[in-house]
Amino acid sequence: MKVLIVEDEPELAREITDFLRLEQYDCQVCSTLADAIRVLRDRFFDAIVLDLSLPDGDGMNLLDMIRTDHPDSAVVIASARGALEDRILGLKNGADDYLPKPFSLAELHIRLFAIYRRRLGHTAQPLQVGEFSIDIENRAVYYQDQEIVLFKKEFDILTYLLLNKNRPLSRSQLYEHVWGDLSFPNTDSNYIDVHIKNIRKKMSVFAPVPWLQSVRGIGYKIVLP
Amino acid sequence: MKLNTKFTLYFAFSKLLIFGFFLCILPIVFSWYTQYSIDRFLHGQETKVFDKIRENGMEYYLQGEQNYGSYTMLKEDYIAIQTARADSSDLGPSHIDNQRRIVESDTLNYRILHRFFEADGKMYLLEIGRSQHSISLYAAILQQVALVILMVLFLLTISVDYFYGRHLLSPLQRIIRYRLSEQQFPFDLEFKAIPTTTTDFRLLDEHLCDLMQRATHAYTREKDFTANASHELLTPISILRGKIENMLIQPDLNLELQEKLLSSLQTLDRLNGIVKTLLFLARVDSGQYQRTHKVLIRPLLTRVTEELEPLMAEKQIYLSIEVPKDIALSHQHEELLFHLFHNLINNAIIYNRPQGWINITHNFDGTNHQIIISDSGVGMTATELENLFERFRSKYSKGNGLGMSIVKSIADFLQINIQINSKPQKGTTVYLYFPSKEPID
Repeated sequence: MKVLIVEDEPELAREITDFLRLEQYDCQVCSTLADAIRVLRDRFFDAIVLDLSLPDGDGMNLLDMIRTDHPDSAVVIASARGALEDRILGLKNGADDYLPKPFSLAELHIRLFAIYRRRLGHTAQPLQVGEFSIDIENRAVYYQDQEIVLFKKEFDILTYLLLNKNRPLSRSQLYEHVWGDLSFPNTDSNYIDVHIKNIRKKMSVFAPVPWLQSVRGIGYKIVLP
Repeated sequence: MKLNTKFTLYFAFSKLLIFGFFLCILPIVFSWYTQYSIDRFLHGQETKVFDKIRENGMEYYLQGEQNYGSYTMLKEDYIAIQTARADSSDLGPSHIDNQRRIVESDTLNYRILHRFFEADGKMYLLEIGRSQHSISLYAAILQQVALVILMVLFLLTISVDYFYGRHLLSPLQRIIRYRLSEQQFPFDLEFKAIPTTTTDFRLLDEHLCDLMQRATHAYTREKDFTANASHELLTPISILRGKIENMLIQPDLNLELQEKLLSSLQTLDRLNGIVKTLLFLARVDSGQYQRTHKVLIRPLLTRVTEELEPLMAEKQIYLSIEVPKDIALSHQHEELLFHLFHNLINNAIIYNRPQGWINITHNFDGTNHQIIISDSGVGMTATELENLFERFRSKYSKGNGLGMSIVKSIADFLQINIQINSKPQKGTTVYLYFPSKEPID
């Protein structure tokens, strides 16, 4: 999957590329609007991660151009302008998603993954975790043929951990994921713990869940071979 | 009531008063003036009579008779000279009075001049009279004519007043329309001066535009500041977060380092939370949201409580919501209200005892809607209640100490009045009084 990162902050751009490359994304970085316009003239990208505050203009202008010239490229706005109005404006102007800064790279990864799947109309095979299979498309969890009913937030937490398997996620990362970007990260709430507890309770009725691990009361991870 | 209508009503009333007064005094003035004219006429006639007598002697009138009397054809005037039994003490200037006379079976009111005089050694009484009948007839006609003329004048001047007033006040109407009614904050800065030759209106318009421009500039500055602050504060956090996340996925990372990094990420997220909350508070406090939503309270409360349901289930808290389904509140902002209720109900859960309860009720006192959230929680002391809305000091804002500041800022912005009753170990009740009409800044 080819991703263009339009970000004027070189350090942040580097962290994003490092992370996404590990997930097998083909990344290119542009630090200005002019640079991005030039690159977009010659290359096609599956997704474009777009910062709005660029040194030579507003990224929103580039969005208009992308929508006209590259209707098949998905656009994820990644901006510090996190006000609701900015988000609405970005999505109205044709962005596929809006991630307010500071965002988690794990979150960016699964948003891009979701867009990729949606764009290709590709139905993912159910993911296997232990003795369970998870159908992301239909939002269902099965033990053999039996469906396990999880609440929406529980399912979101489980799939977020699963798509970032073997990678510890902090409670606040999980909180931000299930609450969406309108929330205030609440690092002290036991909201996530309650959900994890419920997931464990519901799934361990069928089979043990050793793969769902706590990390010292700070976060959680799914450990899979 | 519009200014022009008020002016027109005032003019109409004052004119009616003046015209009515004029119509009332008209007969008095008329009768005084006619009497004055008659008296002058009578004195004139008297002089003429004496001139004739002096010139021609008494015989000119008497012609051998003892008395003389003459009426004009329509009995309008008469003159009479008759011998009188009087002495010299009666002689003197003439006097005039009104008397009723019966002439050929008609009773007529006359204004009569009486004068005793001596001629040829005899005493005579001269009477010159003038009928007042035609005068009272004229008075009535005059009054009617005056009434009609005044009515016409009244309608004419009032119409002129109204239309001219409207024309004169039209710049004010335009100022009200283009500067106040049709404007929404933040104002459009392209102000075109409203054409007027009235200095007061021009000044008013200029000052209004100036004030609106200043308000909009201040608002834009504040907005720019929060946008810049967002960018400047959140970008380093983003970089740091990215770095830690990248370190966390290193394959050779030992468990201890992994935990430390995750813990750093958590601390960074706490900082992120504070920054985001402070920026949010700055946005709310500077009015960067629009109070244009009509919000159905019941579905909103359901949304909030559904989100918080796992926490309630964990603590086995019983929740009851007694809010009618159709209560809609105008001039609100749905997301802000969501945050407000979320913070309050979240607190009611966090500070509740296991197996406690939370009650959410609605009340309408005829003017204001009230939402009351009460819980069976740990409650607060008077000092804790005092510091409740203080940033970073509130004990009732678990985490970064900003939860109740969010509640306060949102409530202030949406002009919701909050009252809180709380007693340690007895629970807390939060009363939210919603504004009955459009909030005014």
